[in-house]
Amino acid sequence: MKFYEESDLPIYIQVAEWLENEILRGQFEPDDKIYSQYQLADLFTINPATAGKGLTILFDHDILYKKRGLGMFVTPHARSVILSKRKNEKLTLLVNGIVDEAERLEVPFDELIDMLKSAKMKTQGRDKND
Amino acid sequence: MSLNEVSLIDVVRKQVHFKWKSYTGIFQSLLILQILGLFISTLGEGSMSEPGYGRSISVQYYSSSILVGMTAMWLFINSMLLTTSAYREDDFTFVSTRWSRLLANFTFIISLALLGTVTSFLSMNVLKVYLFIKNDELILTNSLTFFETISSLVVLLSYLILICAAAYTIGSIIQRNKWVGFGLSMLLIVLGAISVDYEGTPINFLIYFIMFDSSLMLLLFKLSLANGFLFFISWMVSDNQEVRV
Amino acid sequence: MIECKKLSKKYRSHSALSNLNCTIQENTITGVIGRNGAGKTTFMKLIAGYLKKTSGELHVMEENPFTSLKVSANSIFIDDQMSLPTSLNLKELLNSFARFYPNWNEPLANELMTYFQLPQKAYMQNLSKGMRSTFQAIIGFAARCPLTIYDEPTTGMDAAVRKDFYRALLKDYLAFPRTILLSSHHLEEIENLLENVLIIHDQKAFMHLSVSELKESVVAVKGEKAAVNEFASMHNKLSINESFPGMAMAVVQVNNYIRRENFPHLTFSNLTANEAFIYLTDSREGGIDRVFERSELD
Repeated sequence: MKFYEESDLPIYIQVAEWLENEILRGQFEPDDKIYSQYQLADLFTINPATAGKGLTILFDHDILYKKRGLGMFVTPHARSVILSKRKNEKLTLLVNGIVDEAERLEVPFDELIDMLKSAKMKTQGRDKND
Repeated sequence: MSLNEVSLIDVVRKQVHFKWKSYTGIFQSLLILQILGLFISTLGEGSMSEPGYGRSISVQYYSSSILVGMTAMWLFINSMLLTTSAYREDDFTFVSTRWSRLLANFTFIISLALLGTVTSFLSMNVLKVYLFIKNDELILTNSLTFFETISSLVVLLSYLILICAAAYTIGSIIQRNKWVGFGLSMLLIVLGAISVDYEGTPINFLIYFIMFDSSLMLLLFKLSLANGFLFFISWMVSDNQEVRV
Repeated sequence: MIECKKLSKKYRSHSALSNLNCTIQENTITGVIGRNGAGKTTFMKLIAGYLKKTSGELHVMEENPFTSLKVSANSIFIDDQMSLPTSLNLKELLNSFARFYPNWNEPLANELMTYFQLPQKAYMQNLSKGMRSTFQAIIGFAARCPLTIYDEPTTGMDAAVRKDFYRALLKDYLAFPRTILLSSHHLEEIENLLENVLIIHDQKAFMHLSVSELKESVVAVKGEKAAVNEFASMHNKLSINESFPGMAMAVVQVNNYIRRENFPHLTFSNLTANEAFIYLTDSREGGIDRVFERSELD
């Protein structure tokens, strides 16, 4: 297993995201035991403490829970947490991007809202025709 | 990860064992020197002849003094070499402290002296056997009782240990401070030269006092004290020594 | 495991370390990083008990490493100048180590010797530089000392062997956790293995932090010269360079997380740990380019 060494993100965040992907893919069901920091270290050739940091992030976001002496397990609502987190991050980034771009092109805000409305109608129309 | 507790005796034992296994050069040179010494001894030490009417006597003297002398030299040189940086750094690659190393070196030196004593004694007997086989003439040896043989060997051993200890101490001083060590060696050589030529000098007195005595026990006691003193000096000198590696 | 307070090592002609403070926890892999001559090797030799400190406090396993038998028995120092007797072949050398170190793992040593194709009957003097380093690395692994110190262990190793070395280091650490100090000039190769880095600079412990903290403390900023300058002046500017006319790139040390959205005219990028280290420790303004600029002026 290799990491994208070109990636800007710190290793522990890459580990967290990889685990999130594994959960989304269905590799881990709710209440399944997730990889330990040692297993992750072995998998990716990284320091176990770094892997542990990645696990801690997921724990902080309520994606994993701890069982004393046994390790970390997937929470029942992990999937939905991950989806909404990703949604928020991605969507927020895109929205900010649109606002910035509109400013740069000197498009007034009302025109921007109109553009959003027509885009919405287009997708609604698409849905109706399906 | 729990730490291992180790005892000093354990470490010293391992160090001595290591030295026996790895200092093969020392043992090889002993072998060569002994053979050489034997050969030289067969040449004899002196002769005497007495001519006369109808009969003449010629006597050839043989002794193993050369052999013992060469063994002593071998011990001296190697004891001094033990203090040099190559040997020192080898010790510290493994488990060692300055104190454990000193104890191990002294134990090793004593065992070397023992080896030297035993091999010299055996060589002397080889010499006797050789001469017995080679010559038809009468052979006289100074026959000693068992006790005398043993005690003379013990005394020889003690002298050899003293030589080793002195060499090691001088070596340690040289390693610590080259100039002091050099100066000290020069001083000893000069004193030695003086004591050979002149009797009654203080250094003469000291040497005779330590090394000669009619009582065996007292002699051994004096030699042990001298060795102890040298051991102490070595410790003082090598205590703070750094290892560059 | 290791505690230093105002540790100093001075020689007659120069000083190697002065007032170094640091604490190294048990069972961590710490990278000891610094420029050439910064004092890394001196620091590690002091910890190993080879050198004696001039002043300050140094405790390893709560004892003085220079005199402690416990420290000597529980630690091992691996570098490319390891003094080994020339009369013993590799197998005999391994046996010697096995006798001294109670945690010695014989099967591991033999397997590694086979894997790296080191002949058991060979002598150190006849090995190539790379093979010697490999052998010394094997000693470090098999000894399993609670404190294992590697001073530039990969000198002479080719890239493939280096990769194996790092993997072996990690695997053995996972199997048998211990305190490891590792110094290397290839920080970019080892940064994933490390938990923390101790940067030795100007004879002191310049920084001691986790690898991720190191990377997060430095950021590269690109954009219009004015904007870049303004941003850089708000933080600790490490270097600034005019790439195109009117455009500039600066490397800046930041104290806390930067909300990049607040600076729409600037492009941010992260640096590798190695790059961060270089910028943080380089006091020469403008880098090597300056030398050429200055010489062109004449």
